[in-house]
Amino acid sequence: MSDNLTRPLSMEREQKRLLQEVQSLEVKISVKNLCFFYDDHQALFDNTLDIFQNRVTAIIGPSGCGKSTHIRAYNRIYEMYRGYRATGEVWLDQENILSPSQDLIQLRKKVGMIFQKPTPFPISVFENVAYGLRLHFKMSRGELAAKVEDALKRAALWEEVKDKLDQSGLAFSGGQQQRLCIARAISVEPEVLLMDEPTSAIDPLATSKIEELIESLKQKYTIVIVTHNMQQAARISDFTAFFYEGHIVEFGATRQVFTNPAKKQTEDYITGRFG
Amino acid sequence: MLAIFFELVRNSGLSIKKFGLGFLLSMAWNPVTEDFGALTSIFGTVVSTIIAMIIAVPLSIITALFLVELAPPILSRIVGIGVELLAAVPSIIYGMWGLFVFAPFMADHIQPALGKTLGFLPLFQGPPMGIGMLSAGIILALMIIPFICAVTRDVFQMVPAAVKEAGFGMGSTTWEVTRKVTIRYGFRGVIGACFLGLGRAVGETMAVTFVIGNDHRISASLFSAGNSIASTLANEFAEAAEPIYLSSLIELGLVLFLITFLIQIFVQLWLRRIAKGMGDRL
Repeated sequence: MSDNLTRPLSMEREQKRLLQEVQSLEVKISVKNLCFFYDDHQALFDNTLDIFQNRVTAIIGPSGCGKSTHIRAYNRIYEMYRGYRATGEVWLDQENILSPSQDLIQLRKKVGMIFQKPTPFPISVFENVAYGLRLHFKMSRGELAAKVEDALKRAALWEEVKDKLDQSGLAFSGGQQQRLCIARAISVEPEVLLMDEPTSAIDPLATSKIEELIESLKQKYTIVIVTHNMQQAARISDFTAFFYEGHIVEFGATRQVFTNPAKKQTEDYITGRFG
Repeated sequence: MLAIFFELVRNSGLSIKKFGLGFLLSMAWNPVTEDFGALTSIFGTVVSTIIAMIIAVPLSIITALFLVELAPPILSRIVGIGVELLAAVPSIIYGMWGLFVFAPFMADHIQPALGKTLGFLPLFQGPPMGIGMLSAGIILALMIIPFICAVTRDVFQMVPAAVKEAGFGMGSTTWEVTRKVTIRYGFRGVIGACFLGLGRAVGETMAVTFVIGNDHRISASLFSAGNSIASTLANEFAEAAEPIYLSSLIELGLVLFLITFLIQIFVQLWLRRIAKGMGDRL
């Protein structure tokens, strides 16, 4: 898609083409009227949007606008905390994952998550990646080692750690730790990857590595990334949702949102007038 | 530290000279014939401490995990405050409670029951007197649980929420996150907490003196009376008229001092090894 987009097109033709492309895409997650409450405080208001399969969807907006809260509904990680609740519907394929009968363990196997700060467990690199494999699958040692190697390779970390697999996951740099977390998340072959500002705590060089990685991962996974960094959203995403105070102000193809936003608020934010 | 050490060595010179290393291995303790040995006291200290740790460590860790991971916040706060208050109770109160309330309870209920079910083991044979090694160990456990539990709880609370979220995010159950993430993360702190408790148990005097029975004897049965280094010192210092008696008691103190010192060194070395294994980041 991005290759085509670099060619100059008239606005009308481009919009038509985008529309066609969107129609040909499969919807992976369909969010309908999602509201979210921290105890009595409502943080999300009737969020409705579609996340497309094998595409990168960026969620942008000023701090505290509900970006993270929104994606944290996709794997119901908020349920760790008392008093947090979501209403509405979040359809992953044919299942409403907000329904009380949803098996959380299966959900989180399908929907992996990467956090703002790298979160390796205080165990070895190998055990970190093997963590999810051991939870969800029964396999021989050989199979396990092969899967771990595969995940580390796909996370572009294998060359750096192949001789240090038994060192603690905490002994590496921030960027390496974050790629380790990505390896851990993709080891169990999820369908969706949620990334909550995955590069905000690491340096620019490591960031560009992770952005490249995201580009390659979208072949296989559907990716939703929350980011503070608008250049990053423009660089790596196919679709962008702009959040403001818990509402989705605008959602559309990234190129369109950034070059020809429909709403004044979006334009103000993108051009740096606020936020 | 050094000054205390030298003072202890100087004042126990008489008994060191007379008994030599044999002091550590002798079971004798006879003020009349002036023959003294530290073995019964060392044995009592070690056994009562081991009993205390066996009971206190698992209970403390389980309580701390419950408070951090499972309990509703209000309950967690109330129990937490209760645990901290227990840590502030003076040890003599534990001693008196142990002698007047706990020891009779042991004699009437727990010891006969243990004798009936596990009586085939030498550990649980003998008359149920209430006071003795087992009671001392349990009282010690009650005394150190608040310490271990409070520190362990703080350690578990310091595990970053994001790391736990990552655990849950991988599709783990609460138990899996607790076992594989929280405990791993807090491992050093938990060990530290346990040794804090151990240090207190080894040196604890008053409560033990009340319930241990104060008899210079080594017995396989946990029901029988014994003594510990600290209880011997507390009991007999006032009666020690002869220089050699006093000197032996001071040497006993020196032994206690060395034991706690060795424990400290051991802990430090061990923690350093664990730190290395975990990448020096905890």
